[in-house]
Amino acid sequence: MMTCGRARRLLWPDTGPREATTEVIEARAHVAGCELCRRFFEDMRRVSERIRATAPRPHAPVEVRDRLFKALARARTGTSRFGGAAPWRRRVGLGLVATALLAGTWLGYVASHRRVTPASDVLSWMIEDHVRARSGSGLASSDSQEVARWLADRLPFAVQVPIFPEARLTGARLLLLHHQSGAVIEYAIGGESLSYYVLATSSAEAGAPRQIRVTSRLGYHLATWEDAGLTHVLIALLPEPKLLALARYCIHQMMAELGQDRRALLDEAPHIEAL
Amino acid sequence: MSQWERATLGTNEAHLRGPGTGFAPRAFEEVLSEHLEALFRTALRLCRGQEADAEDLLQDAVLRALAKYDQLREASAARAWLFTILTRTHLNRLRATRRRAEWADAELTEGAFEEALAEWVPLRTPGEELETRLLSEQLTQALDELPDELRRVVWLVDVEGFTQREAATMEDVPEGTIASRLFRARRQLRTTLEVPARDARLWRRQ
Repeated sequence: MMTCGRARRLLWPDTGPREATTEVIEARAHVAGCELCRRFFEDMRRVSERIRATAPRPHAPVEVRDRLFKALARARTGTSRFGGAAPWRRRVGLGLVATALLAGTWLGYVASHRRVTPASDVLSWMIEDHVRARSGSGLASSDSQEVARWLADRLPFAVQVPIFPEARLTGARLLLLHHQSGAVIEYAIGGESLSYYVLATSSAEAGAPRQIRVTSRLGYHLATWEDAGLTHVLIALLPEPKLLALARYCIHQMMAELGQDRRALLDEAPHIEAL
Repeated sequence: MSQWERATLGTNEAHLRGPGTGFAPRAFEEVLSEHLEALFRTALRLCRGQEADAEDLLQDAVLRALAKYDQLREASAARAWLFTILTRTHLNRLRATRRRAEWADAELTEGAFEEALAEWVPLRTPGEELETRLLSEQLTQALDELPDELRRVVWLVDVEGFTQREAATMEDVPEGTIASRLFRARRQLRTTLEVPARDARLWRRQ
């Protein structure tokens, strides 16, 4: 004999067609004539709908997104000492060590690369052009790990390859400017190209750390900032607010990488200058 | 084995990535961005609202997903695949701190499940819609008070809209177990769902 419990077990959850066995047919006949069973299925539907309608749906905070994408960047470049399962908080100590190493690398680089000729020297420009041509056309790759390795083999300073959620990495090339080598990392974003330049900062150019300046030249927008002895520039045809947001995102990733207190940055108002 | 299981686990050669298979490889970050909100809120609920724990769980799961990304064969399977990894990462974390016997004791036998189904008392307001002013916070609290196994299932099925079969694959348990857990979760939550309706009726009478 078909009981209420058996009928409900055979037909619930009602997620679509099921094999019409003799028992299932009996269960359906039972439910058709049983008010309590009909109420049971109706209640299940209503409870489910109510849970769906009232369940909390908090948004992921931007800090969580930043940390997550930075962790992915670290995983891709293989810089994680703790492996994939380590919580981000455990990496703060590593970040402090990395900061010290980066500062040491930069000091060593500056000490060994002092200019001996003016940048305006025509012969120097020719040499730079020659070296630029010899360096090849760069690397075409969407793999941030590969790009990071390629740059690490060619530059005297460390360059982090930022990962922007809306942009697609397309490659990287070397830059030689005023006897200083740098990196240009290329992205595609919304049908536009985005270039991220990194090169050593001369002492005359150095401004306040991580103060973003947004400027426009020849129709292009630029977001520029200095940090840890390096000048960073984003260039694109994107609207200025968008470029500013990308610059801030880039800085967030770097500070997360270095384990610095990013709240200090969040409290800073971006310094925007129009030249 | 479902289509997305085949797609995820790669046992069907037709779903292998490559020209003509219909799956244009995309950056992992791009795929993740599409589902990040749902993954975050699910991680938050699995961790009973503890944001730091949810963040660690999510990061752990995402890094595992990155390492296995080449196993994903179909773009359409990405959502279920990411949720499977998140769910199993959560399970692994729980298993590290709980004895297996505690899990087995918590499941209903088939007979006990049928009895529980038969004992369902209809909602007190059968002819009315449940009051819509139910506070989300009350449901959140009730969800967080559920045992982990029940909370995961009701969240995956009722909130995120996965089928029983998909939830069974994610949890690595039979579909019957999912049905039982889903019923028990709803049975516990109904109290929360009914109280605001009763309060609203009392309020109207005053």
